[in-house]
Amino acid sequence: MNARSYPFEFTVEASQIPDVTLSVFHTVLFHRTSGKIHFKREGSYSVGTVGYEDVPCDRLRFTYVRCSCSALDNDVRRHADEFADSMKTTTDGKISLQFYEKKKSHWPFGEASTTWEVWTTRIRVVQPMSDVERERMRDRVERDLADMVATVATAVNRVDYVPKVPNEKELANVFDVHYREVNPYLHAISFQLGDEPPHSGVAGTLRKMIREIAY
Amino acid sequence: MSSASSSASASRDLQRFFKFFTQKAVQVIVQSRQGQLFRTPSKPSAAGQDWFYLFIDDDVDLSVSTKEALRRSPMKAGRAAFCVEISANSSEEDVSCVLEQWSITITEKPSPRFTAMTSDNVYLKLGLLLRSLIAVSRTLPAYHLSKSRQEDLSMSYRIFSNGIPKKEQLGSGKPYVCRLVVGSVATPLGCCSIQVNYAKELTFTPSIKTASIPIHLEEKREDVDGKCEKASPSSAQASSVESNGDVLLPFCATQKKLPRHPSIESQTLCEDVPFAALLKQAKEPKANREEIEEETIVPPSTSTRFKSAVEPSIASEFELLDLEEISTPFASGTERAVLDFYRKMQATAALPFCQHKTPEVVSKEDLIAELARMKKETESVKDFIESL
Repeated sequence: MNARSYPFEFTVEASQIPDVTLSVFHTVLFHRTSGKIHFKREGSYSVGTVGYEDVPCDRLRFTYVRCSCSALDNDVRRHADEFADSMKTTTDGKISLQFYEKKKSHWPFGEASTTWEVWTTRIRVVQPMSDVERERMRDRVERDLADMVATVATAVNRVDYVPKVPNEKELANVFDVHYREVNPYLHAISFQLGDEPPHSGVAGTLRKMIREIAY
Repeated sequence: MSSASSSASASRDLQRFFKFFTQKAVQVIVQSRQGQLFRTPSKPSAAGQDWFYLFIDDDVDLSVSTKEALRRSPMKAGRAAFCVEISANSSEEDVSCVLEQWSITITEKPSPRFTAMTSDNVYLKLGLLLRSLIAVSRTLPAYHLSKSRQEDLSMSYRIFSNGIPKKEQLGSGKPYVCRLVVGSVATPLGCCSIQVNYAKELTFTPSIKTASIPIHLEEKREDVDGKCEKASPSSAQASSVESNGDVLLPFCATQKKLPRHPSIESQTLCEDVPFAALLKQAKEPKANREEIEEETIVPPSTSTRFKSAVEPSIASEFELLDLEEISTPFASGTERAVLDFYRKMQATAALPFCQHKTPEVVSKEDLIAELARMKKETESVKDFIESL
């Protein structure tokens, strides 16, 4: 199965990178997070309620919506800040949010991860020469973010493959279960600067596993 | 027979989903135009009002209006849309401008491949569509306008069922109208979708007046400038009769949490609120009260400065206690302090039920003897407590 891929591109000032990254990833995660799943007897389960929170951007006149889960927000912010720090040495980079599920694979591999959706944000950093240009750029970024939200809404509301809720034993193969309030789908965030290989994420983890098993 | 009954049951479930989906969608749209940031907590299990695994805090008055509109015209495939219209109103020029027309529709053509969709799948999809609505509603120009908190600007909404939104009502002059489809969910009963027509040009011209505002609600809105007043359901119903199924409600009438603009509050509060003179007086010494609060932590030797900070305009029946007069006789442990305290308390007015008794005059010797007796008893009480 091929993963669905949704790329976005933004031309921003360096200080706006965290806002843009958080806006994109939280908008996506808001649609890809389930309430807390609790299993009962005989395989039935109940699903909790997801709260939401309006978050105004620091450097942009834009408000995005995220799930009410501070631990999830902290994790995403950590990646966004790491990416923003790395982007100080370059003007071109991309950061990806991948959703995957784990499936049992053949020997000698214990589990294989299959990515089913990738959201990539490509960032180009530009330093405006004047206040007028800065204002024009900011307007453009804000419009692009609004378009991004509409694109996410269109994409997630299509009838496409989304992993179903499995049985209790396999729940951790589909959902991230370590958050107390919610269960987002299993996801990984990685970024890439220019032509460098991606930092962390599912692909890097898989390579590590293969190396460990083979050598 | 069983398949027919199960399909009838599934059909009833879907109708219920559409009804609650519409109610929640209206809540999301109207709340997003109230100019404030929302935060609702995630919960481990869904409670009664938590439809579609999403916690949307319902505004009670809006909920009542929406249910009334849905009761008159339930959501069914093939019917005209359920609409929410957002308008901005300028109090200076006394004009209003329609900014957005949201419509929730269910088309009549179910696709054959969706007839096999289960109720659970439809429920999940509708929840996803609601999340998209929450996210998209924050990206439109009216959202930023509602947050701009301009003094002469207020926003209102109109909900109506069985209506067709008219794009030419949007904006003023020659508006640049955009149409956005938030998303759609295909179900066996039809395709449920949400879309919005919105005006990018948010300017007012004096020639434009919205004819749909009933007079009595408009009058109520003028009274609302200084305070939040609930629009009574009866007036809403009356307006619905006059305007062909419409319910027009100003934001202030139903908004319980709308934060007040400071300048509006200072202008109107003292004029309209009863006993406003007292509030004015209370406001004036506020800075002094802050000074007073700071000075209460200074040592007693500088309490003369504290006395001079007392504002004479405070009502005489409430006297601030002077630090010098507050004494702690039992803490100091001296007999003299206790004696002085007892004499002071003797001079207080007797309670009405004790007035038939004249207070006894106690001599100093009697008091000393009484204190000595109490000291002896203290030791026996201590022994008793230790024995426990």
